[in-house]
Amino acid sequence: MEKVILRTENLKKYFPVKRILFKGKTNWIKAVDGIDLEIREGEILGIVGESGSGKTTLAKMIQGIYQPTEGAVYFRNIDIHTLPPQQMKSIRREIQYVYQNPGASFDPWWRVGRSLEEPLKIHETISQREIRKRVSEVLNSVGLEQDHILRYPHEFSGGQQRRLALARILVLGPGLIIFDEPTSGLDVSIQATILKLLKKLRNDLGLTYVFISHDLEVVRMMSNKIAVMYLGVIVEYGDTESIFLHPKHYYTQLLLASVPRIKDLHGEREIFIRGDLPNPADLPSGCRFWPRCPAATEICANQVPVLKTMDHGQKVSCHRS
Amino acid sequence: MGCGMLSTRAFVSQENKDGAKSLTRLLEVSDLTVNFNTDRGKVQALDKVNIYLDKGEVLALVGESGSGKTTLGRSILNVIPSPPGEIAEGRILFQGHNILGMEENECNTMIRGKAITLIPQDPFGSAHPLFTIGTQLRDLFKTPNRNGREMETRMMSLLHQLQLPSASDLLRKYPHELSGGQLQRIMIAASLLPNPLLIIADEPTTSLDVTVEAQILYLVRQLVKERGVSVLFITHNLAVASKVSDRIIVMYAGQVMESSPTTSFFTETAHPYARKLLECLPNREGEIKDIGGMIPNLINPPMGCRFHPRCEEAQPQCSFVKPMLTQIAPGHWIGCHCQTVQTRMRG
Repeated sequence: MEKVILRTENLKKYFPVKRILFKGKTNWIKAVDGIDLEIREGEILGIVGESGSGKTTLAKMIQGIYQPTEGAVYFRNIDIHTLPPQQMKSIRREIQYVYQNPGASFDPWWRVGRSLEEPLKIHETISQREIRKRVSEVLNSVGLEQDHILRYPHEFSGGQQRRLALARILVLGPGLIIFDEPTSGLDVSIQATILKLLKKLRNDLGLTYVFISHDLEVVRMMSNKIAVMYLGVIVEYGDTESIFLHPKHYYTQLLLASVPRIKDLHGEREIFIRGDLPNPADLPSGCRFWPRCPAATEICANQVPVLKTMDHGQKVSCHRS
Repeated sequence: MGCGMLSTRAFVSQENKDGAKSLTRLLEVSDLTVNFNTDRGKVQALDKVNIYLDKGEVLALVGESGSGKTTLGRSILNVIPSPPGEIAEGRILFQGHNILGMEENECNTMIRGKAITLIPQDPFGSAHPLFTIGTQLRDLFKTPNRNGREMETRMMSLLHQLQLPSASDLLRKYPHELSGGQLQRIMIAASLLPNPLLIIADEPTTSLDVTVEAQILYLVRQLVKERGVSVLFITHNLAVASKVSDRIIVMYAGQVMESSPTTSFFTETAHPYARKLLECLPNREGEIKDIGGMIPNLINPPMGCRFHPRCEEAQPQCSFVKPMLTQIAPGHWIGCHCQTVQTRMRG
């Protein structure tokens, strides 16, 4: 088995809600509330969940952008949040983050060539010629032309902007890349091209991915393991195929049923989750999903379920399954 | 019905001949050509587009970005900004009246927001941030001849049908206090309140989570069936189209590629582009397929069939003759040279 590259231990992030004048104690939004994950070298871990489930907060703690309220992130067995700034810099280089909207993460006034060289100037002490060479190699590997470095970000299409964002990260030769909704807002045909490229790069360069998406079909196609998040906790975790074939948690089942598929024309099966996500500052007692769960009983409202291992090696936190 | 070659316009009128159908025809777009004059040249956004829509029918308009879906939706409301937009050719018959020939205030009093309403893609961009939801919804029925109290009850029952809990609280809130799904349901309510004949839904679920999307699609389908409203459902997602529509039209770079009843579209996909588009959807096999090549620049679009540079089955004639829409099975029309030949040979 491959080595564990990243591990999180009881990871928590609480955000304070602004206190209203003269009103008692501070409220906390528990964006991420106790997450244990393990990613091995070369794996692709998919994180799925609705908006507001804490996917992005988790990813930002893994990259070291957010300081966790509690718990730790171990990258190659080093607790990254206790490192002095100088060593943190070298970890940042290893763990890279691709933002949801790559067009907005490039400086609009810079030619993209300059943006692509920037990371190398920060992290390396090599000659300008060496930098140019590295940039042109990377451009090649993501399928862009050499003369594209003279253009400005707005001159690129959505698909090309994703390639650029990828190129800027790959110049540093990272070990782990976090993709936050890498294909949202793209057409299916362009989505397919980008996913193909991501798979190829992983195989060629031996990368490890954390793949955040709300598109379950995309996650199924891309990842080996899946963590399903709901309101800051993992409700189900396991191998991609076993989760898709034998979803144990009611939330996972309903989430899978919500995905529009061509097979069931006109949706004869009308299965969907009723209601909206509860207010994260005022979480339900017990299991966080119970107010929307079709199988909820008294125990669900009173007792917090723990992640337990089921057959097919899945971990599920549900009283009823 | 035979499988012969017919002129492009025949697509609209041929279907019309099926006796009773002509009584139920709501909208006919024929030979619509729309250009945008930009600094870099003339963008040919729509190229002789023909579509029709019957009463109570849900038509899904599927295509990638730049295929002209939204331009078509805007043309039907006659809100193409001019300049830079220019409707070079064609007419849009709505219940027999040409919308494109109407005066501006005629459009405002009869068509826009009255007989034809719109569900926008981005609800937050479309609701006014400084007025409460209630104010904005009540503005819709501020016409002298309508009874306010009656409309109020109608609005409340509609909100109830849309599964919006505690509606009276909701009406006092501002748009930013609502979630995306709630606000989109308010938009649906707003589009239904004027009792329209046609709703244009422009990617109404693109910005929503799958769970909310499933709720919204179900509600749209249900309300449409109940009220007999026609819907032009614009989407880039074939799976969404399959859930909500009776008929599907696939567009590419401003041309109609295929038009077919939803059920047979997925079993007998005929156009090479439509087949490629289906293959792009994430599937179980794990192998990822793409179309290859790029969407053409519409300032200088390819001659003939606009898909031919990316088409694996392209014939010599594809690069200079635009294929006409041809019927290959009852109600199933495609615009492709190669497929038509194949079907004829099979026949």
